[in-house]
Amino acid sequence: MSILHLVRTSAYQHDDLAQCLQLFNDQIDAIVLIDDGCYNLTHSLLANIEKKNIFAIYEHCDARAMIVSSNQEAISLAQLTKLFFSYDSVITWQ
Amino acid sequence: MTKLQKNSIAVLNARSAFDGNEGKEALDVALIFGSYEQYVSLFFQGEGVRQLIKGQQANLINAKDYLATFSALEFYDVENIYACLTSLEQRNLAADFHINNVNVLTEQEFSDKLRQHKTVLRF
Repeated sequence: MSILHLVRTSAYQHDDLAQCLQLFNDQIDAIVLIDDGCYNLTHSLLANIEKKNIFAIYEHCDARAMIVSSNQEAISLAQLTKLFFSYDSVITWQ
Repeated sequence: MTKLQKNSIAVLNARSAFDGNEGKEALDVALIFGSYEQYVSLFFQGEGVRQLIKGQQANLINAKDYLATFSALEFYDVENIYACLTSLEQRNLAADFHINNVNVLTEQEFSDKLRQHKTVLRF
């Protein structure tokens, strides 16, 4: 069963992302970085996760001056709504 | 692929026993779903595993002893309780719990078991 993981906190301050990655299945899951979760774009915890499985809300990144690299997908909140329907379940990590 | 339990709910605990009200709220949610005979499971990961450890004394810090209410889970047929082995080991905690029937699972088993639930609520 595929899961869309919404990560809303910075891994530099909380361990939500680390716990998320304990459950993460890189074959079928994806991560969306929301709010302070955008700070995780450059965190070492995500270094080994395939970039095609990582999304970030671009408004939230721009607000924090976080640059989304070309191989990471920046999406809008409207696109996030569509993304929900591509996965069986959603977990919010906050 | 693991089998999905229809309309099943996983309550994923990630906070220690007295770090905010999340632990009590998660337990309340599990008991409410249980009282309506819904299929509900409790998961403990990260600091959440501390909620299970035996010998806690909430009265010493003037906190409500909601941990005692865990014993009500079996009356509501909430029998699926899972703790993350890695989280226990990282904290040097033994599997010495104040409730029975806690299943200690490896990370992979924990992940697989969680995926059998349609809805995951994290506290």
